[in-house]
Amino acid sequence: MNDLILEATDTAPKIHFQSNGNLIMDGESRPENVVKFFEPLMNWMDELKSHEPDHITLDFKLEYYNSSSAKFIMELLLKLNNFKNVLVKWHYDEMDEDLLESGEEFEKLVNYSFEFIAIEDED
Amino acid sequence: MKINLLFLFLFASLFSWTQTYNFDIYSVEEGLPQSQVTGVTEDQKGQLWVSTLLGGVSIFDGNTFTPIHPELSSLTSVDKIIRNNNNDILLLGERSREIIVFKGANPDSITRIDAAKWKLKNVIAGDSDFYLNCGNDSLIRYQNGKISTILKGQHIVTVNSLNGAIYAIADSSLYNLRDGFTTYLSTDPNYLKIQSNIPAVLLYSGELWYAPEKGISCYLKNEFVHFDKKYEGSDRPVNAFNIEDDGSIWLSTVDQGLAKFENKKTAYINFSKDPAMGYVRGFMKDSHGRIWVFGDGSGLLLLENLAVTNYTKEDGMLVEEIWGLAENDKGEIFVGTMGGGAYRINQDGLMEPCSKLYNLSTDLVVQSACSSSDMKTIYLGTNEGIISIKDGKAKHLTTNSKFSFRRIFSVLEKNDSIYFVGVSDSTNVYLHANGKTEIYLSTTESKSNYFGLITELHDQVYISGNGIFGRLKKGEILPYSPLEGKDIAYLVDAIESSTGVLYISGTERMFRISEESVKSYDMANGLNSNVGVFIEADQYDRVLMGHEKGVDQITFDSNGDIKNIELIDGGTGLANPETNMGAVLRDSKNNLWIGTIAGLSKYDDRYNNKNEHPPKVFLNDLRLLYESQDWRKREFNVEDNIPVNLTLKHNDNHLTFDFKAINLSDPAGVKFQYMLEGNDEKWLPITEDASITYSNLSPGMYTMKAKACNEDGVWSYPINYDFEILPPFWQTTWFRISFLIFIGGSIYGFVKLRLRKLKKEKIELQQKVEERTKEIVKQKELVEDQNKEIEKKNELITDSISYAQKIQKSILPPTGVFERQFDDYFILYQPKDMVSGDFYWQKDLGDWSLIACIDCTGHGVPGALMSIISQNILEASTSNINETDVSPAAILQEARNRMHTMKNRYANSEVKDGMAISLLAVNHKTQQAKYAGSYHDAYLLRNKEIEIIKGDRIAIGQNMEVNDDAFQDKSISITKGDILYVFSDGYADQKGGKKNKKYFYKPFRNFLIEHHEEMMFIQKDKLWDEFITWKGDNEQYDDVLVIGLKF
Repeated sequence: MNDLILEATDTAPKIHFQSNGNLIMDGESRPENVVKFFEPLMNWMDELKSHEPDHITLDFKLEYYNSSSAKFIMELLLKLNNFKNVLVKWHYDEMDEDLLESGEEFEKLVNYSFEFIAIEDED
Repeated sequence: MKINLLFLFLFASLFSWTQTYNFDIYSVEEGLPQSQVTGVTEDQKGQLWVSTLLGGVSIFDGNTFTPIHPELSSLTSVDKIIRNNNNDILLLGERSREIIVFKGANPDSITRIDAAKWKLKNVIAGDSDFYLNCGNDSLIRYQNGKISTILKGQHIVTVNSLNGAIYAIADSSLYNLRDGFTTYLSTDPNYLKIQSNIPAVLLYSGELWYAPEKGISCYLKNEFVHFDKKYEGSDRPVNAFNIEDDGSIWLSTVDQGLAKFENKKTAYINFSKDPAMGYVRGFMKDSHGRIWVFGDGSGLLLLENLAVTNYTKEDGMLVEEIWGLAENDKGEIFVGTMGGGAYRINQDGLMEPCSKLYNLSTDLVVQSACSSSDMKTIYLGTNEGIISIKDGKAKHLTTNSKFSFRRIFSVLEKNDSIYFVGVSDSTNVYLHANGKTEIYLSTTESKSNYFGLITELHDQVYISGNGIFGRLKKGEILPYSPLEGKDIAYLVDAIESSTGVLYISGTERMFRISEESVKSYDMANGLNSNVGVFIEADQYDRVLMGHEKGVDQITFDSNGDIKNIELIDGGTGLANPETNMGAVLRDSKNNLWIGTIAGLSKYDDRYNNKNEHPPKVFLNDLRLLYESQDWRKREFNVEDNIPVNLTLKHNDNHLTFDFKAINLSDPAGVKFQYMLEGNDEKWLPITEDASITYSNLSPGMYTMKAKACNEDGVWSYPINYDFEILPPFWQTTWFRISFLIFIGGSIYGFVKLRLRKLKKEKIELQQKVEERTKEIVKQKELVEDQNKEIEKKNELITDSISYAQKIQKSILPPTGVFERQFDDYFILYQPKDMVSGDFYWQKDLGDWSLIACIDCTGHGVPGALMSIISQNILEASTSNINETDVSPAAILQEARNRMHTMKNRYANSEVKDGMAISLLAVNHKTQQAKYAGSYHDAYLLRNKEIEIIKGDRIAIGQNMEVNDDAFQDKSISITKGDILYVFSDGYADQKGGKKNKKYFYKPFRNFLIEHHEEMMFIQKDKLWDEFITWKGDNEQYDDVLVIGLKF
């Protein structure tokens, strides 16, 4: 199957979903039409499931997502319950307590574990 | 703070320091035009502008006073002179009837404004403006030649510059003045009780210090504290005062001169004893921190370094003869006296008797003292033997031994062994180790003054004495070989400098032993005494030798010869010139403590430092063939009589550059170095000459570089002056003429040929242009019509939004509610647009007061609509509840249910809008508070820490099913001084800073902690300033709402 690659825009994150199971979401998610943005992602995930990859690593690098995106992110994370060897790397700015907290909330709702990676401020 | 203040007031007159301070005097003899100085200010070049009563204004560069603007000399009086950050200098002239401003501190750029109608009393400098206080009338703002009136008709208590911002107290309100706009901050009716137009200083703590008819007073939160006995004998008003960052207060009065109160030491230094100081009008602190005092008779006085603090009987010492000195790891200094016990001086400089602290005898003879190598233990050599002080407890170490001591004059600890020289039946060296005392070295000599001091050198214990100096071993002294065969007489004290040179003082000469040589010195070499009772080295490798006339501060050159000797004695503040044996201590902060026969002196290293400020250098004049020029007549842009972008003809190549380097602490110590880039390959040799002349410079580009150093060799950055000497005119003319002839000839033929063809094309083009122009005009008209329509619509929309803004404001509670219920509070409410999705809400329910901070989704108009709905829901959710048991969680649950019911009425439940909320219930009677939040947290600030009171992560207005008890109340017991903060996410989520990131909550909390001791309105001001700074060029992302409530 093909990889799903979307470049970042002002309102949508960069998506690098590779069929080998390495997934990256990076940027900010507040698309005007959330459904239109997330639907292809969900469909792609369903297709990936049929290929049974040996692992899933999701590098979650969203700095910001709005509440409507949150619903879909939840859905995406729940979908990962059906895969094996799942690891979500939850990147957050070391100062961003909110983002860490919501990652922790999400982790409670799934059957795999998160790795929390604090991005340090260099200055 | 209040307690400290009282303490200060009560004891100020008891602890007064009365020694003479030294001033450098600049009077008529030094060139001051007239002896009555009315004001001083410093310009950016470091020069002082001095105004005199009858002699006009002069600029003082350290050497000479240069009168400016001769017609100003005709002024009968100059009341005040001040500079703003724009380097504009303002004078209030002729008893404040005239405002005179020199733009950019340029004597030639003068603006004069008649001010007779205003009754000006005082002036404060802003950034690019000045604020002039008219007392009971109003405030005048001057900027760029323009005058505006603010706070009209109000009783102006003070205008004050705090860290760049200008605050004004007028009538009963405090305002922030920014660029001529007044922002109201808070109200305090007590302000009206304070006289107008008196010197006053507002601090960030909210304290307002002011000078009423007598003395100075402080006002803080309904409390007036008068500083009653501030000034011995003065019954005249304070005419100037200043509060330093460390809390110390400088002030001056007409009759008592200058004084300083050191906050921590609760001590008062009076400089008034200097006879040179006459009728003092005020003082000024310059950019190097020096204090200049001015007035009548005195002229201009520069206060010399404040180096010394003395401790005497006035500090509670029973006996003033000081011997043993030692410091422990807490920085406490222990002071031994001859029969008056020991004393401890804490870090704040406060002296307390050890008799009280450690229950020691009040008449103890403490002739020596030392600290253990880890500095945790202090050992005192006393007439009761060795006493150790550790962890706040004193212990007699040698009481059980068979020895009793009349006195112990030297003590040293090394590897838990204590060596000391004691006088019992005879004089011996003793060793106290493992709880036992023994004679370590006895002398057959019967003389009691056989030994000197025990010192540690090269990690070994050494002892000096009559004809001896050497390493101490049990029963013997191993003589120090470099001194063998020398006439050493009686040696007393030794010290090893940081460079490994050994210095030993004695009764007849002093020795210096380095790897290269052994040298001795006495009065023939310039020492002020042959007898050195102690010797110490400072961090600048100077040697300090104490004697009966003071302390010689000796500098050696690399050959070991004496380069310089400075005598520290009564003239430099030493309590008494006669110093005692071994009575010296260089503490961990490099302060030097010296014990004398009548008092202890502390030489503060802060002031003893060399002058770290390099001179300010500038080009003062540029001359051609030694003649000064009027460069303006030569059509150059001129700044301070120096042409900018100077280009000179080839024969104007004989230039003299006259520089000035302002170094007011020692004008004569200035040295210069020059380099003309384009001519010199490197810097020329250092010179004292402030001028340099270059002749016969060939055409080219040049940069004149100059730098200067002060008396301590600290160099300034080089300044650059660029200029160009043009090549000879005829050269370029020949070139141009030949070029013109050649080009002109070729063009002529070409043009002839082309001209005909062009004419034809021109006609065609003109036709085309006409057609196009018609089209464009049509389009332009269309666009203009559309623009007009848009403008009209915009106007309509803005109008209706303005109205909406009014409606929205009406749902906000009146601030009086908060004023009544809280000790202090602020509400920082800064919507992104005219209307806001954020709002706050308040409601009283019996003993309970509900306070909410609400963030409706979105901002602008949609947010505002939601806010009206949310406010209704909150009112409805609280309309029918039990007033004895108010539960914010239950209210939120009710609000959530109502929101859902309302939204379900609409078929389209796509609307995801809702609100996040902080809901606080405070019971002022029981000092109880409860908090519940939807997505919002609250902060409780107590004891300089913030406790996060978590809200629940449940939305109000989103269709997610939750239990009825999803919201939880968090209880808080309130104590006085607590501050509760509630806020929306607009502050912490704002993007900005260097990396364009969110501000985040942690820095937000840190900022709150950092400023929590300040008054709430100041916190609010600073929070907003911080936000603006962080935001930078970004737009504001969301509405900002932060509420702080202080109990």
